[in-house]
Amino acid sequence: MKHSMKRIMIVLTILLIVSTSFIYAITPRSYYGNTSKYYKWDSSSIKCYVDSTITSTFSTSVCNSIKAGLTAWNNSDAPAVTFTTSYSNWDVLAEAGDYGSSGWDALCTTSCSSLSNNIYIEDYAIIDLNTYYLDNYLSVNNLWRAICCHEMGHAHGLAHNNNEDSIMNEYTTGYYNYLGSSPHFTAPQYADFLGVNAIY
Amino acid sequence: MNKKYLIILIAVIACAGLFAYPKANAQRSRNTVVVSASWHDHFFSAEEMAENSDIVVGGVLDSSYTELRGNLVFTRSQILVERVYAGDCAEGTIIEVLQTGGDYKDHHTAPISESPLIEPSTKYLLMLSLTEPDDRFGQYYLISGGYQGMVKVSEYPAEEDLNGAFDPVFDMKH
Repeated sequence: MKHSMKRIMIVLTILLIVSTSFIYAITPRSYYGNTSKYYKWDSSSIKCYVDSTITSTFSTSVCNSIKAGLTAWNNSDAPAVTFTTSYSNWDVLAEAGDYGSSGWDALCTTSCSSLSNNIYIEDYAIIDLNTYYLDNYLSVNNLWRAICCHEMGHAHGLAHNNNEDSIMNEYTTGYYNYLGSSPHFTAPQYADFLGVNAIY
Repeated sequence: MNKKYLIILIAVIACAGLFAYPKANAQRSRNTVVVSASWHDHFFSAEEMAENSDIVVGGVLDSSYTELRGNLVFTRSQILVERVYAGDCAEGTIIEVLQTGGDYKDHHTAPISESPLIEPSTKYLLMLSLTEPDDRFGQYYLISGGYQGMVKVSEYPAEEDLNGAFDPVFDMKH
């Protein structure tokens, strides 16, 4: 009896360690990674303004792909993204520009103004798409969708990871390989939902 | 005997809880800005990065200036090359490295979290890629792999230890 109890305890301990390590390994981190700090929206919905640098520049299909990427997290616990045509009341601004050879395809700038219990509350986020690189792929609609989904992941509070099955990989071809056969993620994956749902 | 393992189990659960649960913190902070990029290039090892870089050098910041592209500020750091490991570059020359972030008049762009701006009085090992000539922005170097090709060092390593100096970049991420 004593021995069976001992075995159960050992098995339970091993299971706990393995499962904790597994979940930790596959879950995308919040921006502040291991320091237990997060940032997040303090709202159930946020408004996104797609700037004329996108709507006046790109084809309807590219614009639709961008919008699909921006709303790709709407079936997670993150705030639902809706679009606004009013520049005066956006939470997320999406814009595009030729920033030259910068080393990055897209950028997300997030501003937070308060901290409570290690949770930063977001004021706004700005997503910039660098057409210097991306204009070469105007016919690859899903690339635009993937990049905007990735950047909105940052806007929702997720950091990069090196999970091959995540839209939050740190380099573009790591989640949408426009140069090869895989991966071709255009939406959050299982690990991404785990990460974002842990924040909200 | 059972009690002993029960205590171990409780200790493991307690440690997991401490690891996962955010500590209470009453501090308040204003205007915390986080910038993240979807990097255009990426490498899986220092060897691969070195092969795909135009120059590999050791150097220090000589001076820097900023410029505005759209709404974003970029910093051009003039690096005094003190050691050349590979590529067409001479010791004692100044090269220009571009990074995102900086202040320009009333514009401010926070540096990308993974790629802090090059600091003065600090020795760096740099694996760099030369950009294509551009009528608007000229030609300059970018840090290979976005941020991967830049590490701070106290002394420049011997050539055979060069790749090892970049291990922390790859160990951290993989």
